Amino acid sequence: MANSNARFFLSIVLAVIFILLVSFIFTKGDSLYHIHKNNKTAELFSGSSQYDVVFIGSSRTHSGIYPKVADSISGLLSYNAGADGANMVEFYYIFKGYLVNHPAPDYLVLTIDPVALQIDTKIAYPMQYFGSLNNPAVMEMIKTCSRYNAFLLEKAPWLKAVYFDDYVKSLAISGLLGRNELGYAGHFNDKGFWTRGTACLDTNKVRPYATHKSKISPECLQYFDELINLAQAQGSRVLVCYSPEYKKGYQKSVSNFADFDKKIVSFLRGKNIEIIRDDNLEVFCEQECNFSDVIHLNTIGAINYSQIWGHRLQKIALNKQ
Amino acid sequence: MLFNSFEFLIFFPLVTLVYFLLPHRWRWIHLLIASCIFYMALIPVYILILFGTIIVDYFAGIYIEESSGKKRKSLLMLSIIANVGVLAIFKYYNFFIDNLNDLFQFSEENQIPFLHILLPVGLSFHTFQAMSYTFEVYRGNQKAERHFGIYSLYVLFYPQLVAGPIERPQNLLHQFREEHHYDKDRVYEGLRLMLWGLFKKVVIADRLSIYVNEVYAQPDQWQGANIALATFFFAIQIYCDFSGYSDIAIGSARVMGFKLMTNFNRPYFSKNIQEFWKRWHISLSTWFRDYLYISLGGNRVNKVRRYINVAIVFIISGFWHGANWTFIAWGTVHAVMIVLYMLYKEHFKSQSRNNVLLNGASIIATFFIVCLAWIFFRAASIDDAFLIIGKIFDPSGYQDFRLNGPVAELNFGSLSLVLSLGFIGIMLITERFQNVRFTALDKSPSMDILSNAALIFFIVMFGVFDKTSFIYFQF
Repeated sequence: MANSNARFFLSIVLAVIFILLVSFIFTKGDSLYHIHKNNKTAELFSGSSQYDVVFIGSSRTHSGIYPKVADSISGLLSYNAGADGANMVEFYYIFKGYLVNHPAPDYLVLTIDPVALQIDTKIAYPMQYFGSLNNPAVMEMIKTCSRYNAFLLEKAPWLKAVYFDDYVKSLAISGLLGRNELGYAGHFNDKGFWTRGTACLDTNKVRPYATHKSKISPECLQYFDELINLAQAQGSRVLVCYSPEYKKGYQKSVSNFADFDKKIVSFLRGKNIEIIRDDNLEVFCEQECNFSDVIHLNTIGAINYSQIWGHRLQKIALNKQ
Repeated sequence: MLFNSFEFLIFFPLVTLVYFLLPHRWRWIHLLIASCIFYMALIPVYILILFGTIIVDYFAGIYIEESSGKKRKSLLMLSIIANVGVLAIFKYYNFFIDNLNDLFQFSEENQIPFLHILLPVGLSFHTFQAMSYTFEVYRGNQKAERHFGIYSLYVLFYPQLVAGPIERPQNLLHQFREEHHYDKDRVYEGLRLMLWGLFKKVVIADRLSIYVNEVYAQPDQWQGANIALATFFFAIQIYCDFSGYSDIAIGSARVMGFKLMTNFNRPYFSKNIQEFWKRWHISLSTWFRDYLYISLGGNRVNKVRRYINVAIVFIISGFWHGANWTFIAWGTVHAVMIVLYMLYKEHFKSQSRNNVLLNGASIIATFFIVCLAWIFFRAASIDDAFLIIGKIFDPSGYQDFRLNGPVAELNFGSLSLVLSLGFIGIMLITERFQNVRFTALDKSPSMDILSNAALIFFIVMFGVFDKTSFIYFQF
């Protein structure tokens, strides 16, 4: 075979050119699509604004707390740091990363459910944090809780699109085609909040969750403990609540929810925290027009629920004075 | 250590570099140590089991060679019992106990206890390779290896240690004594084959596994169309996963100057089921042919006995893959198909089949039969397999097709489907026109460079790197 060394060298050079070019295009598409998430992680991990209240939770918080509405009642300044698919490990790192540049908030509101404490220590969508790797807490999260090679991400950030899975690649293509995550009818964002639109839950299409047992993972509980300790050490008061859901549709599928609740209540009592039972908001949780699906609020529900939090925070702040 | 891991990316060039820097007399030690490290990266303690069987077979080989008559046969039996015994304990004990407990319906307190042990990675592969050594010494085709280190390396040689090809001593042992010089063309050829194997593994097999795993985990939740798609995907996945491993194994050995046997020869282009087995997992099918089928009488027996022997070989081959009734069923389906084909061939053998359309139809029909058999291989239970087959043939399961069925958050969307089908197309077309050594583009430098660059690009940009193990590691 002629020139195998040259062939080898040229193959590598050509491949690197392809990779850099396509990686650049995908990265561009990703940033065009994720205009909400990118701004949100930039504010959380690189911004330095003072917020009185920080809400942390999963997608239930992300689309359930509308800071503008809560702030208009409470007179405080809040930020929605909810992240889709997040569990307690991610809650911990989000808050730790937040504290790198921001002053500690007066109140840290954690919204929990059995899922937040039962899944393993991996983070759900690490790729959304790739733009914030200069924040040491985010880097630590990627290193310890994801399968991504943090060294490569750190040293060759222009290659981050190499890690995009098919789903993120398809979103990047959407971005290149002029669409973005807010481009759906009725969707908008505000200080970390992202709506799911105004459509009401269609009860005819609701499929019951399969009955299962919830198991609190020791790692998640340990991160829960460390998160509360971190917040309290910074002078933040921690408020913990169960999120509302339509007729307790998910909770009923957890056959040992009573045990789960008992353990959480006991754990929080040890830290002088009373759990807020927003899953028991009877009238609110009975109305399908507050929900987009069983566990997520729609825009109307988010406005109504944020009003509840606005009044609650106002009362708590007044009591403090 | 996995071929598709970051560790191997460091391990392989380092081991190869040191291999060529060392004088020939030290190379076997270097390869032996490297192979031990490679194996111990998975479950370190299991190297002791491997060395246990190595010691038995090493001495068995020497004593078999030195003895004759009944003693020779007894020594062979002893070696077989030792090897099969290890397999029986680690791989089949719990299966037999489970079935015995079920059969006799023992009450919970009277049940025979299970062994709580993990199956050593690639146990069936290196056991069979070790057995082929004692068989060949017994038959006088191979001299007993006196050098314990070289013999250990024959069993432990890292490229083919955990998933084959299952080598024969006549092909591999002497290569450890030969001095291999650095040859840039050979290195290039080996690297190119490794690249192709890695492409099949991380770009195709691991992408398809996302869909296959989800559908096969709960077949009752999915429509027939989804199940049919998942079954087609599994046929491609298992081929790309296993032949990809073989390509990387053969390629990495080639870089160092070793020639391993061909394990796959474009099996999905087979025109009948018999041809399929001549092209699929060649090192295992020839193992069974050489050491089981021939021992049962081979072609020297009457027709009925020959059919029975063929069926025995395929059923045992199924059981070799795993301790589960699904694997036995898979082997049985192939046994039935092969025997039916043999009967067909006897009656219609005079008819010419050199017709493009007929050949195409034969290839599709063979692929369809192989896919149906794969259902038993992949399903969690026999019940699931029949449920899956029922759903595939139910026309109502093809209406209102939704790719992700009941799983809202399955990471397999339209782009995954398009990429999967595109890469499968690239793979099939490439293999159709390549030879097994992947050297068809040797005479076209620009196309060669372009195809290599494209492979590297696909692997880096579209590879699924979640440390997915190779399917055949479990066997």
